[in-house]
Amino acid sequence: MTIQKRDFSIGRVLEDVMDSKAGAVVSFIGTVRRERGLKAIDYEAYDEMARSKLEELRAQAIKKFKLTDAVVVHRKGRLKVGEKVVIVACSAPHRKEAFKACEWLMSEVKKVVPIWKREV
Amino acid sequence: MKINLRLFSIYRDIVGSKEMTIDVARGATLGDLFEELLHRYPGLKSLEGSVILAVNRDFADSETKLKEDDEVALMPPIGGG
Repeated sequence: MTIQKRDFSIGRVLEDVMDSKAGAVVSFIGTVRRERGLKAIDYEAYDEMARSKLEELRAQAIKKFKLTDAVVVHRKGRLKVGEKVVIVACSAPHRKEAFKACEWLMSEVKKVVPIWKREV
Repeated sequence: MKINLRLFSIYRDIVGSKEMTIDVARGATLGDLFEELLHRYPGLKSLEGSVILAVNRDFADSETKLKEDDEVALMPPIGGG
C-alpha cells in the first residue's frame, strides 16, 4: 500500500497480488481524463495518515471478501492528462469476490484516504 | 499545552503554513482549537462547515479532547482517485 510520486508498473502490481491460492485477479486503474482546458491534476496527500488508512482498508477488504491479497498504489504530485493515478488490485480464490472487493476498495479509498486533487 | 498542527490544501493556503504549533488550554477540545484558529485566521470561517479534522492520524470530531503533543490535521473533504 503506497503513496508515491513515481509511476508504477501495472504488471508488477498484478504479479505482486497473484498467488497460487487465487484463481482470480481483478484490478482497477484510474487515469487523468482529457477534459477541455485541463492540462494536469495536482494530487496532495497526508502521507502518514493515507498509508495508515490504506493498510486498514487492505485488512478490511481481505477479511470482508476473503481475499488472498490486495494492493493499492496511489500517486501524488502533478499528473498530466493520460497519466496513471491509482491502481487497486485484488486476488481471490474466485472472480466474484475479487470483482466486488476491487470496487469496494476503490470506493473506500475515495472516502477515507486523505488525498486531494486540484485541476491545473 | 502544545498541539502540532498539519494543514492541507486550502487550509495551508489560508494559514500560509503547512505545519505549526499552537498552545491551547489544558482540557481543550478539537472544537476549542478550531475556534482559536478562526479567531487568528478569519479566512477559515467560510470553510467551517466542510472541514475534516483528524487527531493523531485518525478522523475526529469537535468534541474530541486534546492531549499535549497531539498531531491535529485540518483538511478539505477527501477526493483522491
